[in-house]
Amino acid sequence: MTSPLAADATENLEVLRRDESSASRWIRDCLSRIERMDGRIHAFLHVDAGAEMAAADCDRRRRDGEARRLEGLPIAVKDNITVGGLPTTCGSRILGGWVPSRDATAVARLRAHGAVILGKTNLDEFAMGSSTENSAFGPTRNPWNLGLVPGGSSGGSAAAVAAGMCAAALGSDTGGSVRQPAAFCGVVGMCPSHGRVSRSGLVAFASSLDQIGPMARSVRDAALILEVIAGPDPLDSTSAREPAAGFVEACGRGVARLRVGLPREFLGPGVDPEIAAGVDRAARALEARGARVEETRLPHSAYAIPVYCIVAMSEASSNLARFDGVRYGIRLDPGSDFEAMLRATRGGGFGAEVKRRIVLGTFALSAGYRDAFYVKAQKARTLIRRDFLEVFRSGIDLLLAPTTPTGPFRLGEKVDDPLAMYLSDVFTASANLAGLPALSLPVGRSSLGLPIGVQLVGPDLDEPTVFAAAAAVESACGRLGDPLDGLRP
Amino acid sequence: MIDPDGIRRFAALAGLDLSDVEVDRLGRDLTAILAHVRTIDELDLSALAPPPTETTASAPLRDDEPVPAAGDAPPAGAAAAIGGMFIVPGARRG
Repeated sequence: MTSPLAADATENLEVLRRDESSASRWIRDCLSRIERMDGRIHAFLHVDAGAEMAAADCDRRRRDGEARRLEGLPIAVKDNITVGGLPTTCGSRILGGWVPSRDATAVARLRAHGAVILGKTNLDEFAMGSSTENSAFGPTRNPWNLGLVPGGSSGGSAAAVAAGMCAAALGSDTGGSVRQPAAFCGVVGMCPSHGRVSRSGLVAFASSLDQIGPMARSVRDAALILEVIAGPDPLDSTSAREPAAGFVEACGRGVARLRVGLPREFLGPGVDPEIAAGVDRAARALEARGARVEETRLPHSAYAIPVYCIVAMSEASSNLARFDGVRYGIRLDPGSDFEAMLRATRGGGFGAEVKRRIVLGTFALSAGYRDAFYVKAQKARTLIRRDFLEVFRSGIDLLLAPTTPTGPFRLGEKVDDPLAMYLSDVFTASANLAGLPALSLPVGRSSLGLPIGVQLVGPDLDEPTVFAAAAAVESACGRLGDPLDGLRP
Repeated sequence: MIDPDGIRRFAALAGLDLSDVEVDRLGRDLTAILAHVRTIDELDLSALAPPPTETTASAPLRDDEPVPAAGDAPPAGAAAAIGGMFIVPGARRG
């Protein structure tokens, strides 16, 4: 094992199986990179002091012949997913001091398979944002260019994986929050089908849209992690009952005779020509391996962001009502009556973007406007989902599209224009609204040296087809190198 | 356009203190966002059923008026309340 960037997690786990290195060394490599580089990137909000001890335990298990599937894998967790005994802030002041007692189901499954939790990663407050600038603890920077955003809201996880500070990470995706930062940072990010991964332990933002997904250095790593964390969970009644298996195997099954659709609406004049060229490169890679690529239509996709705004913010206004200064985190003005304490705590504890979304969601759900906004948005959401179902019913096996219309933007460029920020997710939100699996992977770098990402969207619960196509594209386009040449000590 | 009084009303419903600067900013932001959201009006949605949450008779909505969280007469089925506080069983006995 050399640099954490020299190989993916699958290869490094194989090195450990061959006894050519140790979990302790792998963890120390990651911790060393965090120490040297995270002062400039700010991917982590909290690093677990117990990680080295956990790695030593992994080495002991391996010596004793008890190694599990992910034994020694160093993984980071977005800070809106609970890890028992570590703080969970959601990037917000309002949760200050809250240390949950139990692991999220996804985290518990990772640990049960031998993964080592390195720490918690930065995010837009309560996962509301597309740049990680909305964190109360300061922004994360893009490892490819420290003047640019890493995307969001899982920007800390994406930057940590890209910079080799961990082998993989968990993110959450409500409108593109795994895929957009994956594209901006040049890593693989998977948003699974709605219900595929338990949300028990994920702090809810918009429950009909939220998903936990892996972020990794390769398609097969993402498949491996998803295979571990997915599956039914009695702690989440919305988790799908279908067993989760065959994701890793699917990475090697090829794409011969697959029909791949290119939605015309995702390749219009607003798309950066270098990103459009990246989509074309991926399409040619699939064709060269026996797939048939053809144009298709998703006629209601233009309404994805308006619908997302109303649905997500309505659900957020309800979900975040629980942060009241009583049950979690900070309490402001505790000497006054309850109502004043509630308003002061929420007014002072939440940041500007969270308050914007809560007020908009409250407006959309209020008696005078509910039919005109919330009910109408839910009906339009039905049309968006029907578009996908009709495409897949016509024989198309999966869709190929840009993950984002442009590459990573400058820090501060969009913070004063919330609508422009929301439109960063214009190509990702529709998969969440339809509940479908979608994966972003890098297909090269732009003339500025920045990552270019494309996404693949599959039918409901058909992650294997998405992984098969993604692995085929990855084998043609290769993985990106080390973004940190300028940061080396 | 949502005027400042409208913003304050929805903030009160959501249990949020906002400064005057925040109220002005939110008014501008929400007006721009809602103008974009209004593009949904281009769609003919008349043939589509409302979402299940809108047809469930067992989940009536309360009025959109800010009210104390706990009055002396709590809602049916809620814990007893007195002086704006809920009354719950003691955690320690004896």
